[in-house]
Amino acid sequence: MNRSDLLSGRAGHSLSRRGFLGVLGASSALVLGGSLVGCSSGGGLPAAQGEPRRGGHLRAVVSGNSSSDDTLHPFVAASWGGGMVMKNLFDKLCAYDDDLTVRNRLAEVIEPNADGSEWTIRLRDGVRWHDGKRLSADDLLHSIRHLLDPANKFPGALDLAMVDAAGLRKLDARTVRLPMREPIADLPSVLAGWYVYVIQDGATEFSNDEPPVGTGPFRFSRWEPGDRVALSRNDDYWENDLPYLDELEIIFVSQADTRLNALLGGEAEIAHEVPWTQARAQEKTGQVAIVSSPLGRFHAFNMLIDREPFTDPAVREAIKLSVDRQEIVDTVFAGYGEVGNDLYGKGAPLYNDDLPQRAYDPDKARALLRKAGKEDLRVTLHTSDVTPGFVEAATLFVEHAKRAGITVELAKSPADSYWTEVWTKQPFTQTGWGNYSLDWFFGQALVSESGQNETAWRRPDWDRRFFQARATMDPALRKERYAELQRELWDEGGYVVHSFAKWIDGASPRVGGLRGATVSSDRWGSYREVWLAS
Amino acid sequence: MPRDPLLTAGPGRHHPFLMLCIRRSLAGIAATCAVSLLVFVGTDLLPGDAADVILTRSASSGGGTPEQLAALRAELGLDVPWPQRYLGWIGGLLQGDLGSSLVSGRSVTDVIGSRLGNTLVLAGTATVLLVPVAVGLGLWSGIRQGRPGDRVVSGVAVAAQALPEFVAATLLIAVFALIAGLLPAVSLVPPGTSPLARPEILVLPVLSLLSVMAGQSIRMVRARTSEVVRADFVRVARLHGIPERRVVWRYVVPNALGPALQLLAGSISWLVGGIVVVEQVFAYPGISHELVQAIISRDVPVVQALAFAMAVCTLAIYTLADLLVVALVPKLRTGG
Repeated sequence: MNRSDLLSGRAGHSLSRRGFLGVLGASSALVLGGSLVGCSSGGGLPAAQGEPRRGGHLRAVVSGNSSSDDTLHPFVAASWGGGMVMKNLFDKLCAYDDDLTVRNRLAEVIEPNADGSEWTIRLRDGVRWHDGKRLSADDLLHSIRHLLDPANKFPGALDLAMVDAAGLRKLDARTVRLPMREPIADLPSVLAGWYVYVIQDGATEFSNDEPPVGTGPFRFSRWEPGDRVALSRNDDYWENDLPYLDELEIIFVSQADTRLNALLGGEAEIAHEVPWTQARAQEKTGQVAIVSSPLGRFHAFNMLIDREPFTDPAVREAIKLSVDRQEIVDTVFAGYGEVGNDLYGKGAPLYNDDLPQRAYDPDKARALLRKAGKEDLRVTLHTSDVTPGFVEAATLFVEHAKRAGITVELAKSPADSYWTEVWTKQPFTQTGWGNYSLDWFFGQALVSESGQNETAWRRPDWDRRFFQARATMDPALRKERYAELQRELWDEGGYVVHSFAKWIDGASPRVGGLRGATVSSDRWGSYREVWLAS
Repeated sequence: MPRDPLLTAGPGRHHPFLMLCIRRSLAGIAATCAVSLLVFVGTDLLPGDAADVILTRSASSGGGTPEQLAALRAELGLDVPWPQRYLGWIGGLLQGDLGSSLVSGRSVTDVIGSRLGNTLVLAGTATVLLVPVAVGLGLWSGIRQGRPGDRVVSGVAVAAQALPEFVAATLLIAVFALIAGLLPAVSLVPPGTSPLARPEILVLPVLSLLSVMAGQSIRMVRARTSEVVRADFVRVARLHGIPERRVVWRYVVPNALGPALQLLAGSISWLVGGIVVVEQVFAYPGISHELVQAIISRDVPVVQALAFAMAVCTLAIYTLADLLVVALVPKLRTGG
């Protein structure tokens, strides 16, 4: 994935994939001081209570693709809306829980051999496709081969790059063995990625003419590209008695304020990705329920450490000390977020919580710069409206940095060319990613070879230690090795991760069973447990 | 209008108005071709192309390797020089084939079909209401220039004109949808239905467009009317004791309306810009989101088709206004 897409978005709408924070903004939340802030439906709002009720037609509004680039292919759908459609039509082998640990879904067992060079996946028994066929190992073989086929250029192929597609072997009707090109200790964390759905054997096209057949809680009814997808209940869903709704319509609305208006005006029961400040106002009026994700998606300034003036570690440290992170969280994200500590993955397993939180210390920054002979430092920060919160955070940073004697000039680029022409090309830009495993992010953005190495972090020794950590089967040793990798990033890296911003949904008081969910996680965008009061 | 040989001589002499229609239409077609060429070249000049966008989206590497880019460009036909691509596009257009989206591969007709219809419904409704409002209020207040009625109309017109569309739309939504609950706050159109099946969803979008456009149009008609009212021939007519009602209908209205119609055509074509904003605010499934996204993803066939459709509409409106003026002012019609 590229984040870029995700993040990027082109549009804004869209794209999200994994990560990205992008564009959309989003997400998540935070762990405050180690304890999850709950998923909560925010403060006492009037969400439906009591026993779930069956039936009902629910309309959800979320940003999606335009008609020209909309898709029903689960390996291509990158927009928030597209991701939600797939989440409800298909299932993954395993998925992230709220705390970003992984639990099995279609897989009954996912287990490695002694050194992580070979993994075995056994599928759950008794799962049926929407057309009545039984889920089998052949489906899984086809899914992985189709995803990894280089001719298809699927973004998700990178996530599973360590899997040796040619060596896949069916052991029995429900079991498949996957040899790895390089050992990995935690394959489930990548199998839980944005695109890694299980599709039916032979399926390669997904459209109104060749309707998608999944194993998910809802069946496909109708697709109106760029406008909406209509789904109906899968009565044979494998998970006990779910789902509750008879009909689900996922409607694509690109403007955040318009989504909220649709909810307030009764044209939709759920509005996804409500802007932070609007959510705060709605919590006060209590007219709709507001739920926010337990973990946030990171927002950062990224410095290319091989470009002036960021080649000097003192300059990088001074920049990191010149950001008032709390003010950004409070102002830009209306408090729906948590300060970042310049590292990816707050709240995820293996995240290094032992490092001190970097504070806003303009005096120390000034002293560092003086010592390095870089007083009156001037830098240009490239920003763009590609993701909600980017321009606002950059604007605040200009003021914060002044107190450290640093002059930050903002250069605002058009959103349509930011990810292709500015990001990773200019030395100081903005970025953001969704919450996945550290394994995944390091492979995407921090190894020397990565095309999305947005901080120019190219250290062969660090790469080697990362591959070693990734293949370390002993959990304690693995954690230790990841902690060291992160310490080096924290000390010398080019990320200024200032915030983790929550993803916020609004819901009518008639909606029950909706919980705030971290963007990459299983519950995010899933309607299998959502119900409507009469 | 200067004497025109086409109007006064040759086989067209007996049907000067018909000839005028034909000439105007030919000019419109030429202008449309010129617009399509400009849009094509303009899209070509933008940094990056569809191959960049697709690969940035789908490969891991911010943009893909040069080999991947070259392969994808060849696949999409982007390696062909633009004049050749443009001629290919024109050729397809003449056969009714608008090509396929570079991003999704679906046919452009499919992608924009129903959305273009929805936008035309919205624009058409706004226009049908705008013309009588602008002409009626403009004439009315122009004739009673300086009196209280005129002051109220002019004041409101100036105020409304000063509001950007999204502010007007937001205010209207807050008042009529969220507070009063009278009208839908968003204008979603269920698949397979026409917006006209639920006309209430058109009310706020049309009011938003009218509130902004009517102000300007009313003021234009009023300005022209008040000039005519003070013109010598009107004064002379009054001095001759012709009843005021007849002065207005016989002398003021036709002379004020001619030039005002052309100005009005300008503001109707300006609708195109306002509609982009209004459609997004109301989540109305028209072409604006499509156009913005297609530009972002450098999806040239979609951009071309939409720009072409908009150019055709704009030129059609101008041409129609011109012809109406000619019909209204006999002097022009007879070429004298």
